[in-house]
Amino acid sequence: MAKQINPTRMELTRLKRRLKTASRGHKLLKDKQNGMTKQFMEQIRRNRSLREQVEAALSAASGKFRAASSSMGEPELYEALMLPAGEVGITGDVNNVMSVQTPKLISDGGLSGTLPYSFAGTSPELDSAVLSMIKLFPLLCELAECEKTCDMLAAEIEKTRRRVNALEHVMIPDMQRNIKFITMKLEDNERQNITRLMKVKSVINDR
Amino acid sequence: MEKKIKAAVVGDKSRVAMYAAAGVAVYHATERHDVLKLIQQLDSEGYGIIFVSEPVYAECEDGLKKYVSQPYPIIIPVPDENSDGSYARQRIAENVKKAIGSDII
Repeated sequence: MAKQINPTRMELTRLKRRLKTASRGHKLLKDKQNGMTKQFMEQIRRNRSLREQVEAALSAASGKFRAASSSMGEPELYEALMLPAGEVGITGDVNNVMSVQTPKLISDGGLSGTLPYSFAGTSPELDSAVLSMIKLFPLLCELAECEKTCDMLAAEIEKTRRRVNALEHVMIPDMQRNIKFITMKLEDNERQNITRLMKVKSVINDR
Repeated sequence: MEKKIKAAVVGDKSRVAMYAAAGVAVYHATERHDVLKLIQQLDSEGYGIIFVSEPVYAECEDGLKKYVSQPYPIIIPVPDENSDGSYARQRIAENVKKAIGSDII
């Protein structure tokens, strides 16, 4: 690298300016990485506990559905479930976490809890199963938001770490080496010049 | 830029039917190609949250990577009647490894 550059004052000024920018960029990216890691640790802990809660609630609900299915028959169960239960009201927005656009969900609490099917042909187990799923929905939304945030932060942290490492271990040392090379070359030229002038002076004096 | 979004679940219909009770639209797809096509279609129809059953998600994970960089749609694996949630836990561990360098949690 050092052999390909022009040892000129202009190049030296350009390199010094680039080094300044790179150092500032490195500091900023490092701060961004630290901030994101802090946020990520909070989110991932939340994600883990939400996962556990959702899994437990889902397996309980699934048990209730199995009980309902065994008491009223599978086709009737699906028929009851396929009736439109209404639209869930979720509002989606965007959160800014260290310049990463993450989703932000605002759930209005899920469905109202009125059962859409006729009670004549369904079993009471189905009612409790459906109600537990309705209750679970806000938690599912929270999990979706948290998990997506974690995914996005993890990807962004990895990207930022690569950039920080590239700056710290490749670009900045390279520029410092080049600056040193140019400075030494310029000093060398200066010394050559002085020697030449001294020689010329002595030749003139000798005449 | 607040907007109303809808939720859907994709997987083996008989295993994810219970999500319909919570007002989530249920779609049946288990083959990788069908799932990816369906998700693309759901995204264009304005579904902001797409739950995918764990075995199906595991099968087409690499095809879903392109959605990671954008906030919506949110595509996450959810346990169906037969899965135990180990895949989702493994995903969390992978995320920690990706971000921190080792699984310290």
